[in-house]
Amino acid sequence: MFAFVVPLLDQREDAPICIVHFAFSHLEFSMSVATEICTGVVGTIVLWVMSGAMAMALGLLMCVGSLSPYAGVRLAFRAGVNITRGVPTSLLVIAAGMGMLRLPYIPTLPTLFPGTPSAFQHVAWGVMLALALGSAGHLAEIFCAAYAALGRARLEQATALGLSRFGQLLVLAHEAAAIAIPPTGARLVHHLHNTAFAALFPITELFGTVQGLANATFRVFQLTAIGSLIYIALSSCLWLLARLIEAAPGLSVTTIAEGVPTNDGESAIRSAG
Amino acid sequence: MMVNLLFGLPGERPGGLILTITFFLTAGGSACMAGFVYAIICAGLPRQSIPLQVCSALLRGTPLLLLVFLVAHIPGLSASNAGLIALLLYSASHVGEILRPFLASYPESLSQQAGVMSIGYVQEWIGLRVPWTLWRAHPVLLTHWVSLLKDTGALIVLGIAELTTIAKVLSELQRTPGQWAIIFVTAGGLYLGASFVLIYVLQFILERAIPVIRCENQALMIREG
Repeated sequence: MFAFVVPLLDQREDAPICIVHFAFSHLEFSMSVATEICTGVVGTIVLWVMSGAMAMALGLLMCVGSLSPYAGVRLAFRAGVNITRGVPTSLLVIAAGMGMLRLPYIPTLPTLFPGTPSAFQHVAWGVMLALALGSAGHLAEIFCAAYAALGRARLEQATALGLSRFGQLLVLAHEAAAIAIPPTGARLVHHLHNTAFAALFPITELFGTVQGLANATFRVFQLTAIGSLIYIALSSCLWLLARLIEAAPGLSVTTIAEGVPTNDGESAIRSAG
Repeated sequence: MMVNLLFGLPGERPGGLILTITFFLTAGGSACMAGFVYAIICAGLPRQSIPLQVCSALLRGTPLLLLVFLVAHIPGLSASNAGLIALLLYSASHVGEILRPFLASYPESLSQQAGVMSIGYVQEWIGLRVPWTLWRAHPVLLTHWVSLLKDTGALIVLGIAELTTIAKVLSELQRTPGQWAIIFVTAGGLYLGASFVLIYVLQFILERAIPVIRCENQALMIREG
């Protein structure tokens, strides 16, 4: 900006007016860039939160299925976990996005994704499902590992407490949460990065916005740096949240590790209470 | 279709799975070496290397797609080289951080034993520290490498004809949903197959290449009778 302003002051009589005009146009441009980036950020957050919540629900379902006493169910869910973990999220997103593009506009779907044209809302829904599926296998594996880490003694304690099945599930989920939270947080950060694949379709999110603006303005480095910092800030928020949950009373790995050798179910009762 | 997915489209070969594996091996191999250098610096000079660790954290916090996009805008770089550099940076930032704690937790007793046996500093690093670190870190490294193989799909942003791009191009040419689904299922199957083969091959190579693992396995077998 200064490279433009300084020579102008020397050359033109109406320089002050030109500078004010330039400053306003620059400000206007900056405002429009900021607005677009904000819309992209909101789009990414919606995509991330929605698909992340769905991935956690699917992951939990896959985990429960993987631990089923019936061999057929167990095998089917294990296959599901391995397939979703082995196939790249990029491929899942492309398959879902292209599949949804072939479908006609579905007016009954709620408009959920800000900035995405209403004609492509169904594509965004498809991409969101694909993103959820891409992380579900990984999350299922984390949940299963956390469950396994509780140990046989703890599982027997939960049974011995005489709680209902739902009560047992609550107690065990509370106990396993301490182990599952750190890797779940890490996976959800990866999940946030994966939302960038939505940019391959006409869906408004951060990476697509940065890419579009960089192509339009040639300010690749500045815009990429802004995009990168926003992604890092969002990841940090999640990391902070995970640390806060981890630090919650009665939900630390040490507490659980201390409680494992005891057979009196005291820790489990404390958790239930 | 299968030939195209495996070797790329006619006139643009090598592509498809072969190109995916080439990118993975080149970037993964170079990143492993770069990551080791990073880990050695950080483990040896923990305070002085804080700026380096911050840079690595920033790289890890940036989505690969954004990194690929940024590197592609460096003047004079071809799309393939840009993709390769982006994958290398991304992988090195992860591998380095995986190796760093393992390298830092190298037991003092082993170091003392090496001193007693009058093993030189360089010899100790090559013969003991590096294999010990790889032995300890190899499950985590394997997970990262499988992830890296899948992440090569991010090169679609540059239009590089790797497996995901080829699957997308081929699916766009199909008219019926059935043909379209077959392409994605086949591409998914190829990624799955490649991941499984990769895990077993790397596990085999690591176990053969690192004497510590072999010794440990033998000791375990003897102990188990």
